[in-house]
Amino acid sequence: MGRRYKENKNFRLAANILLLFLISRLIMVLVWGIFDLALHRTDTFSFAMNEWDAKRYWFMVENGYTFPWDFNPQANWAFFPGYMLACMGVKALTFFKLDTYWCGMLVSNTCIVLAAFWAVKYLGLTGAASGTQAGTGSGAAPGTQAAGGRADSLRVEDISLIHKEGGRWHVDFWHNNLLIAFLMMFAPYTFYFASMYTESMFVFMIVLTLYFSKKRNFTAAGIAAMVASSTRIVGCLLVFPIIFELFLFLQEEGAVESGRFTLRRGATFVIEMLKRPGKMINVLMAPMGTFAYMEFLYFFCGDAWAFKNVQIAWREDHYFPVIGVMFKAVTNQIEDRYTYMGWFCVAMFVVYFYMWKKRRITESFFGILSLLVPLTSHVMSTCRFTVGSFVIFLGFTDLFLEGYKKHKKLAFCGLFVLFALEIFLLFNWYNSDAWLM
Amino acid sequence: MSKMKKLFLYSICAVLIIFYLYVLYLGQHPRVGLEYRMYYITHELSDWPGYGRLAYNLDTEQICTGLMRPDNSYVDYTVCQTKGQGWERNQYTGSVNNNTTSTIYYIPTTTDEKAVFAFNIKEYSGSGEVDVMIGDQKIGTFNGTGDFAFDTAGAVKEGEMIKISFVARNCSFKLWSVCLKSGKQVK
Repeated sequence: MGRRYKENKNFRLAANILLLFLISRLIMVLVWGIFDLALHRTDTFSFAMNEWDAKRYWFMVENGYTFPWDFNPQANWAFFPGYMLACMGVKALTFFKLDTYWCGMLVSNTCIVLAAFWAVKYLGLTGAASGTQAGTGSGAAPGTQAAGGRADSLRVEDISLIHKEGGRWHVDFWHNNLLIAFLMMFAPYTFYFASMYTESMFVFMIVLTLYFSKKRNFTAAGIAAMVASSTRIVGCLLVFPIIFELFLFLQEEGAVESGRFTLRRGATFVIEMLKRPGKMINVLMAPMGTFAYMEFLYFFCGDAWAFKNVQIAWREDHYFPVIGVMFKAVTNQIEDRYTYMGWFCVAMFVVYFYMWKKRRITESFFGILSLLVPLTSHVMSTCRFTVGSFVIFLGFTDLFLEGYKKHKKLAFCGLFVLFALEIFLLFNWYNSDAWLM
Repeated sequence: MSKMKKLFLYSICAVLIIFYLYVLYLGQHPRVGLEYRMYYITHELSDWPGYGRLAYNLDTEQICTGLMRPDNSYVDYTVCQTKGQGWERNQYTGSVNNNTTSTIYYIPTTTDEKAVFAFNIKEYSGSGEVDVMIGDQKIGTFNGTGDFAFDTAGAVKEGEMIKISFVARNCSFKLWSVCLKSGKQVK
């Protein structure tokens, strides 16, 4: 085992990520214990951990899709089936003995560990803003480094969260890409990844799509995107990162002239794609999950758009998409919690534009699109949607690594603030706070 | 890549595209009941009445509140869940108009030429009047609180949806109860 740890990069990476994961979940259990003691509550951990929509997923895993009751029009068709099917699968594997909440948490936590593993490997391919982990040399912009190189730049000896140097133990996630795994376990709103929510599975599929696109394995990327689109509607947007990477791939092959995107290069790209039916299938596969669900809905309740139409049961306030929603939110014209979420969205857009500036074009484009989709109707749940789109972790990793190069202590303080915020949010989560709905 | 393989891959592409177009076509042609269409798709109904619940038995008095009290307990009377647009969301003590035109829909289960539309207005403010219409036809006017009953002018026919509109001019009112009374009941 020790030898394997020293020599096998993937094994070592998995071990370090598992360590981060275990610490984070131990903290979640501790906070729950303190919460129960402090407020004299008797909620079990699985009950406290699975608030709001988690309870709907619990019902769906137990009963499948149902019709709206006469007194409640909030039909569960709004929830995509991918995650629910995975939970049902796990429950079946346990011969229906394991508690449904624990099935959900098992799926979620497994997905987030795997997502963190592939996220570190993805950073190994693309490099980070610090330039220290660049795939094809330091100093280059992170998004561009993978274009020519498919090799993972990580060295096995670097992958160590805790190491001894000069007789002292050090915690290091600044030189080994483990920072992104740390953020995925400890940053604010990451408690959703531990509960019965779709977010962790969705994040896992996004990471796989991005990773395999960079590895030029577009079939695997298409399959991951397909699963993502069966988990949430935003998964359909993963066609754009795949198309973007295909564009770069055809440039690498020389089929499309190198350089920035122009209409002429775009036209050449389309023609070249039409000559490659295999690659066309990879792109066309991405929205398959959503379309399959739509067909199911048509035969189940007669309306293929039921997942969209049913939203009226949650919200009756209508705003002009994106601009109207954001304006009403940030000017405190809806509710206090939505004012907060409005400003949260503004901050996230700033991070996405930072990523764009740092040439993480694919990722920031996907991040912006995935935030714009919910903003067409409301700011509700945008904090959860943002962490659930994964790319924000790349942005914060770049930010922190760049910050670390300039002010080490400030970077550490920043991480601590994020961790403290997560603890605060976790406490409120156990307290069923509507701000976290 | 062999020609056959290429042809096979192109046919998969074609199947996927046809499947997506087929699903979009299905999306444009929902196969749903009237209540579903009016609540989820066209948003003509402001509350979800339940499947088949637009059907109305004459002489059933309905109270124009929500199904729940402020303390989240359920009310124990028949609630009018077939209101259309033009009402305030908060309806714990009755339904207040928030627009010029506020509507209620029914699909009577029996035909009654002499049926009347009876209702109770709990609160009234403003200087104007409210016209009560069935479809495009005006059946009466009111400008205060109390019980009112207007002839439905033969509009109550089995299985045919009727739309009752309250067209308010410079006034606000709170509707408490509604009832389509059969001619027999009126006598």
